[in-house]
Amino acid sequence: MKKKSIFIIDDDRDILEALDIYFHEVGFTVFSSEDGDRVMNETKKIKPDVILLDLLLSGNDGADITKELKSDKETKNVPIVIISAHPNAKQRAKACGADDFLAKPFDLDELLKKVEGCIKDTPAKEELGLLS
Amino acid sequence: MKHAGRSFNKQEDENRLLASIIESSDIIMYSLDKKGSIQTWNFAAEQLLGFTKSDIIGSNIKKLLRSEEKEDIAKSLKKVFQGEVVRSIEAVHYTKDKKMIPMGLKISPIRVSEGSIIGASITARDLRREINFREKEQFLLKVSQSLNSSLDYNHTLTSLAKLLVPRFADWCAIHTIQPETNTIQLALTYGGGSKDIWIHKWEEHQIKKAKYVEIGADMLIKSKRSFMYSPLPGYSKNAHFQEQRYNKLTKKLGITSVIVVPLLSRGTIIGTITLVSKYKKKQFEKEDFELAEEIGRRAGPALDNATLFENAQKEIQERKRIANELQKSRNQLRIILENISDGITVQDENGKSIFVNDAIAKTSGYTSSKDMIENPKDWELRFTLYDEQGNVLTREDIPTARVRNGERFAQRNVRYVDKKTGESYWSHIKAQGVYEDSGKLQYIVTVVHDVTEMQEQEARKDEFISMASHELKTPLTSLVVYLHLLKLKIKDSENNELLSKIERQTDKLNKLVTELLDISKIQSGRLDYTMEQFELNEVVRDVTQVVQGITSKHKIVVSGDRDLHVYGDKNRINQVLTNLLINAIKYSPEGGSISVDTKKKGTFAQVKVTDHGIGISIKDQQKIFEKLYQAGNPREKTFPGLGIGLYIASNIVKSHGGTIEVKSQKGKGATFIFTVPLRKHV
Repeated sequence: MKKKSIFIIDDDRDILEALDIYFHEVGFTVFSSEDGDRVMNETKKIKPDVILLDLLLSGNDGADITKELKSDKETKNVPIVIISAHPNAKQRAKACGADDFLAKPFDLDELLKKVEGCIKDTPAKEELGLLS
Repeated sequence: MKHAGRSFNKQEDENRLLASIIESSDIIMYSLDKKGSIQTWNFAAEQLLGFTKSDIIGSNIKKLLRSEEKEDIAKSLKKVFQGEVVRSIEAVHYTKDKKMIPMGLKISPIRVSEGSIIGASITARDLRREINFREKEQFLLKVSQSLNSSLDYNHTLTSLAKLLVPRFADWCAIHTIQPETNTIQLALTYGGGSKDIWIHKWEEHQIKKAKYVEIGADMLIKSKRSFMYSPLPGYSKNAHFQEQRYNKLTKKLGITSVIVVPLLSRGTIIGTITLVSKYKKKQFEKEDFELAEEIGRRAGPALDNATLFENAQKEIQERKRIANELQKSRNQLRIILENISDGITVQDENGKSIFVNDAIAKTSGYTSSKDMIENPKDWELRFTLYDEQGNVLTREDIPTARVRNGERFAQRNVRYVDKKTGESYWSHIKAQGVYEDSGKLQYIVTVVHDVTEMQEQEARKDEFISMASHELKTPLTSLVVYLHLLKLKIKDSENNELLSKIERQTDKLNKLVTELLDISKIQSGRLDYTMEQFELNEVVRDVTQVVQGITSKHKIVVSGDRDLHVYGDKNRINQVLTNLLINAIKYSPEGGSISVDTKKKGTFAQVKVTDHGIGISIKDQQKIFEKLYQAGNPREKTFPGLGIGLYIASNIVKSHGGTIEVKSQKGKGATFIFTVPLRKHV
């Protein structure tokens, strides 16, 4: 079975590093970025199975990035899980079209469940799309 | 000669006959020669004027006349001697004792058979009665005129008194009857001059002794008959006591005669006139009595009218005064209401504004309060209204409308957002009904207090707490994540034990930060719920399992109804139960059993958490659901925690439409009971 790839964007370097380690450990190919500037291009290049995105990136807004990705046909099927410590993040994540949300601080096992859940859902969606 | 003699005799007879007719006539007749010398004088003339024939025959008519009338008569005689008849000329004739009697004269020429005029015959009527009558008529006319010339009561009274005194009487008193109390009241005494000692005496007596002027009036009112004492009667055993006293007193004051007549109006006695004469010469006569009665009849309506008019005036004045007072206090109120910084509106039961002050007009975007009353819908178009949770409010959600729809009092915070500019402000709106005695809504008074600054402060505080929480949670995230990674790497049990301790403390820290954030969310009304239908016992199982995992001293026992499907936020209900169980553990340090019981109760599911710990005092029970309240004295050995768990739990339950309560006795444990709706509340 092909290794799943995850693209993690978070401006907190420590968290980014920990997530990098963890997803490596659980068998993912990990791509990571500290800023949101080139997310669109990177995503097109990497074609990750899932994106883990912090909502409040310094400079860039995770919600805007999500909207952008979701409106481009090349990237719109890549599931996005938003992570954030902001009080209103849940609503904002919903509003911008993210596939799932998890509040910081989170339990890594729970995060893994969400990420895997998103990946599992996506091919099914694609199949449905092909069938119809 | 015989013939002549006979004819002379015949003439003589005729003359004698004529003379005897003239002599026996009641009409005064006398004749003059051309020089004005009196030739004949009849018996009636002798009787009236006192001059005998021998006294007067041969005297000139001038002897009878007043000097001012002598010329008039001379002129008339001149005409008569030329052949005219002068009818109805008035002239006073002196009597022998120098009294003057007004006379009406008719003067005719006396002709001899060939036609030449040799003298004048005069017939005279005594005019006294006629003049008296005429004068009386004129007097009465004057009475009527002057009394009716004014509607001023006092003026009318004074006019009446002045007509009566001194012309008719020396002194008069007027009494009126007060219709409300049916008592007699002295309205006026008048003696023509203020320095009349006699009046003084009268009034003195009236005050000091028997009010005998009133006695006279009272006597009349009781008998309903006018009376006259002229002269005053002497002592009589038969007289009524009151009457006796009256006469005694009047005599003592030197009064010679009294008349008391009623003032009549519309058939009833409205008062009396007392007329007094104090000189023997001027004792009242029958004619005076009749005249007095007539005056009473005429003056009555005038006084009555004046009274009615005065009463009407008084009433009008009083009404004006009251209206003024009202207006004054209304003005004062208006000034206060208009200048108060709070917005105020008063609406009628249909929602029509009948008063708005400047403050509300300005904040509602009107140029003036008048503008607002005239265009009541404008502000609704201008603003969008939100509640504290950010929900759009309709017109019917505003307290004013709620009172109109039946609530007696309603209040809420409302955020106004200007649709054009996006500017916003917060108002605390309080509406109160004003009701008629029947309970029907009459007015709705709305007071709008600007709470923008307060709300903004709250918002800033919330913002601060949110940001603080966020800043705390970010490093916490790293901590949790690295701890997790470390646990994956470290396999030996000793180190794992140490790691678990770090993990527990990290969880605690995380929980505190989360609660802090929840509080700020609750306060700003932004605690979000994901509502769904779920099975309550599943949550109970999950929570008890987790909480049981952190204690070995306590035994959590679950019982209750199965298949309790409720409507709510699963995670939040989880949070409520978790908080209650952690509380139960915390406050039963000796350990023991903690029971969780669930059951259906009406349209709600009820969850009961019972511990056997230290309990909560009655005083504390009322406050434990308040924010940051922790039972017990801070100096006592208490248990750590911010005391916000119950506050959050209570808010979550209330947001679901449920209730939360505590039953406890100090030292005997506590039972917390909360309810969750079974179905979505419609």
